[in-house]
Amino acid sequence: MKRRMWKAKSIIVALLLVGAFAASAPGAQTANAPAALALLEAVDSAQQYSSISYTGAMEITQGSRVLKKEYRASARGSDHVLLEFTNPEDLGVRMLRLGPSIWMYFPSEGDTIRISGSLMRQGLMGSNLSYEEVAEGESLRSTYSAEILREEKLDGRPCAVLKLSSSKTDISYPTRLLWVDTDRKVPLKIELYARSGLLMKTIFVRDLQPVSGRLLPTTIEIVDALRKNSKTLFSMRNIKLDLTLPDSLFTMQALTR
Amino acid sequence: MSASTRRRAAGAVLAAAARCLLVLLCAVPPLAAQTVSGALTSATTVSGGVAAPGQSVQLGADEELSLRGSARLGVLRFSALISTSVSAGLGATARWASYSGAQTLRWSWPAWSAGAGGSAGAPAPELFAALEVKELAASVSGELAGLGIRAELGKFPLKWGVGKAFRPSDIFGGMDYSGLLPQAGGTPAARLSAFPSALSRVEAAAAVDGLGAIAAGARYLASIGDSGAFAASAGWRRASDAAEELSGSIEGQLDIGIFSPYAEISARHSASADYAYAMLGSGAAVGTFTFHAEAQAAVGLSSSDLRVFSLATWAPSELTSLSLPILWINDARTASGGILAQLQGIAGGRLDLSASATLLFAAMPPASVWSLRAAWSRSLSTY
Repeated sequence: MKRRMWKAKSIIVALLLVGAFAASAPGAQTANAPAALALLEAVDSAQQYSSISYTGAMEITQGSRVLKKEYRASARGSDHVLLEFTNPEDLGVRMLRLGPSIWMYFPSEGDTIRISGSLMRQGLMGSNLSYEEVAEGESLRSTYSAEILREEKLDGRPCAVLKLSSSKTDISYPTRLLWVDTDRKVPLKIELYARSGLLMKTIFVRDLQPVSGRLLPTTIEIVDALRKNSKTLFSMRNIKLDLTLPDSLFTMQALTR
Repeated sequence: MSASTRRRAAGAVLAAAARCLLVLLCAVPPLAAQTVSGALTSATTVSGGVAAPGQSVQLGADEELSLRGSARLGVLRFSALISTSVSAGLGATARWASYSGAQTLRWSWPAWSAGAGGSAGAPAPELFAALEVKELAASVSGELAGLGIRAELGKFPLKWGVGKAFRPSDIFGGMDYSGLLPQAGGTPAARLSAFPSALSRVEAAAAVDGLGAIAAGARYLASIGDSGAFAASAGWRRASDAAEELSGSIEGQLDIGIFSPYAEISARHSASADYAYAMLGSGAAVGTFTFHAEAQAAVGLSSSDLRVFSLATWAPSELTSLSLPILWINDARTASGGILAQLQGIAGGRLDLSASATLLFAAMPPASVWSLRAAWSRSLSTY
């Protein structure tokens, strides 16, 4: 039986795989575009899996305040994600993402809420990751063109600095810079820019762990460039890849169970 | 011992016993269930203000201990939320005012009673202790002929509608407007749900409130592509005075740029009248500002029963927000508004702080009351 292969995105990995989505971007026209695409293809291949489940933690820092949250995550393909928060303050709160649609369930109110367009730029449960970023899927594949700007070392690792650009007006970050470890084929840092050229966020990979023969980013930090000392540290443990996750896991029934 | 002293002693004993019960429940070893989780949280509020026109400034305090837990045994799931509170002065007045005869599974000292000569119009006590089972429910989930189904029984939140403050589609319970933000609580109910697709739900539910009103109905909820959702429902309700009413409702929400409009229309039929309620609202977000506004009005009644609610929020960071809710009830000629500041993530994320100022203004006759509150909540334990 032919096995269905999806490219899964955990909440953590989602932003890091953005570069890979550009691999088939039709707009790559610079001289080193083929090399850029080849590198992104290698990143893509190194982190290909059909599904993922893990126990996650968020440490949200705003100035001197820190908020810690824990959750269980399951994801299949690029657009099926279910999160269930397990920390006491948010016990039983769940998030379901199907394609670009995000639904939340709050057990204390028995309410199933669709995250409307006007709220998509708010942070997921107070984190520096917006619902809009959570909802971005493989549509990014045809969004960006890529070029290699330079090669440099980051934390002692040889990296190629890639620039992803898009002329589309309805995307969160028209320009992204990626520092890709050329030996291990993993992104180590991403800078996200607004159309004005203003740096909005920086994502740092703080830890990489081998999981089922792949080197996965298991701890990343999202730093808000516009707010002083505003950041979220995401970490993953108990990671399982390529599980069989049934359709029934990504439904309103599972969201409200 | 005077009667007043005896009452205080009895209240203190009730409060202490309820607190011991919750702490003991936390110490109970987890059941042999696949998933057991629980959390004990404490919320403390101190307040000052004028509780009624003409009265002098009063101080108050309120302390609430809540235990939330859930357990899963195969296809079975159990959930509970139990809280106990002790309040004094203005805190007791606020809790007294938030009580209604429709609420269930709630005990207090002094006892709160509904109906003629009951507690609704009576002055609030100086000291008030309460125990409430806000949620106690069991559910079973499974598949039937490939269709996901779930049956639920107990007291649990059962809400229909998309409004933040007004939900004319909701036949099961009213919103509580006694706080700064409208809230809805749990209700004794039974519900059978089926899930025909990933993002749709069909449910039939029946509920009863503390006054004996019974409501039953069915609802279909589904997404509209990637940019909206809608629901249609039909229901029957028999009020405590035996008056019966049929209703049919539709509700929906859409994304249009930075706006997210939503609406509900509920047509009602009873032996004495045919009328309808309509609610229209929208959310919008620009930068760190979000805004919600909604209005509800009746058609076919002697009064339009116009109500307007707005909520503006400024969130300079993900853990800090400043909100300004305003509620206007035209028939009562009353307006309430306030300002609410919230700070989350203090002391390692286990402590939240909030401060609020509330003003209630009545136009006929002119009068106003106000209060200032500071509150902090903290997680005590979890498993």
